[in-house]
Amino acid sequence: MPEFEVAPGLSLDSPVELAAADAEAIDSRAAAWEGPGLHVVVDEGELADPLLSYGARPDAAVREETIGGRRARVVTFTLEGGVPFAAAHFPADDRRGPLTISATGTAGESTDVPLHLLRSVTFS
Amino acid sequence: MAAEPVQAFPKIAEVKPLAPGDSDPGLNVVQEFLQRFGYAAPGASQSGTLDELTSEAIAKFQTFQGLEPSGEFDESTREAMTQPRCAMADLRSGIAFSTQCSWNQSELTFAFDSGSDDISGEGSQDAVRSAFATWGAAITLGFREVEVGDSPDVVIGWRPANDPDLSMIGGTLAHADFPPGCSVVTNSVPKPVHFDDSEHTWVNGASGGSFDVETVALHELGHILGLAHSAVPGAVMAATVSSNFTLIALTADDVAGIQSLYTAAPAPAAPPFPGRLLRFPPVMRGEDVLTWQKRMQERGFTLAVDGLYGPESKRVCREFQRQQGIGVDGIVGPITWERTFATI
Repeated sequence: MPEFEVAPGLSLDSPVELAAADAEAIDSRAAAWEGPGLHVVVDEGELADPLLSYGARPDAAVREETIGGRRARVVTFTLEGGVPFAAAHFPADDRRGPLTISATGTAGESTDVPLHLLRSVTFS
Repeated sequence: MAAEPVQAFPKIAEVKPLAPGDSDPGLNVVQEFLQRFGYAAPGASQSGTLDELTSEAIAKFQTFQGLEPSGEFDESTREAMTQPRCAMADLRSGIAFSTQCSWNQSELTFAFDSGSDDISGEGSQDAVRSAFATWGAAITLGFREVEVGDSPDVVIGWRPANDPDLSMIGGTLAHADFPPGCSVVTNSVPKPVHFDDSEHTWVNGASGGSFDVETVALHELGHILGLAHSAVPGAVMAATVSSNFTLIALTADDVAGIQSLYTAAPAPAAPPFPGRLLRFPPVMRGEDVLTWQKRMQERGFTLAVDGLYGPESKRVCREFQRQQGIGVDGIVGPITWERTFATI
């Protein structure tokens, strides 16, 4: 599976080719990437979503995991229109600041693909 | 954090570990803690028993604390509950605070020290005023414009990218700050809302290669009010935005976030049903379509707000009707209209 560096020192495996999306960071070190059926946003800094707000969604699952050697709060749920959504928030540690990566997949499919993509994150 | 810390809970420290189904009079103080900080509804649990509702509330607390959500009152949960903490609730109606503080006053004052060179007259300032009004419609916090010399809480302006208080060089469009107590730029007021006027072109509305002032202002004012970014695509508080694009209505996630920090404004009266069914085909056009589309965007649906009821509006209508458990026909009639404007 191809590996993509989506931010300096941050790579992930994607089942499809990813290219920079036509989107601008508003006020943080954010970047958006997209490929067929996948959209990925990487947001670094103090403004990054801590992912504390989604537990009340009907099909939300919230868990703590270790990804790429860092602790992460991982959230999955389905957006309006049946679009699968997964996101991981990495609190600041001694190597880099807080970071949130989110991914959406193809409407009607499960959250497996975006979740797998998040779990493939490595830091260097 | 603006709120005062409260003392740790010494009575909780005396409660022995408990599993679901266990009873202990000491559990009352744990249940009071869970209610006070928003993890459980008052009076819902059986007092002194680790029943299903109490176990669910403990699991929510454990998740919030980064602990294994076992639902048991174990030693690590007891230790977490007895740490000194903020007096504000962590959760309200199951929605966590997006940040840890808010403004502790009933009104914010703001002033402009400059406008965009790209927009003539008061055009850029008017767009920011409109963004204040949008947030103001969702909460009871008031906003009042004053002169820049009148000690405003927030000062808005357009700056070169190498803004001395926070550089915007390299692609970012703007910056702001969180409320006093959780600041990331300055701990003093006025708080800045600064737009990069050297690396980007500003416009009112959608225009190729340019960024809509009101769209970005709405986002920055969300930070001023205490919201972090939202990972949900399409939210006002999402981290990125495209040129040639507008988003000037709050989505359901934005509303949920801001109403977890401030008292919700009373719901506006629903506009009366326009007297005709909105349906497709053929494409229908009108102010009633525009009103319905704007409200659906506020409810979190992704659709163009263009006053044209076509296949996209029909798809959104069907999705909404399915969510609401009413007849799914893609036609906005009196019932769908009423549900559309009900409180989110």
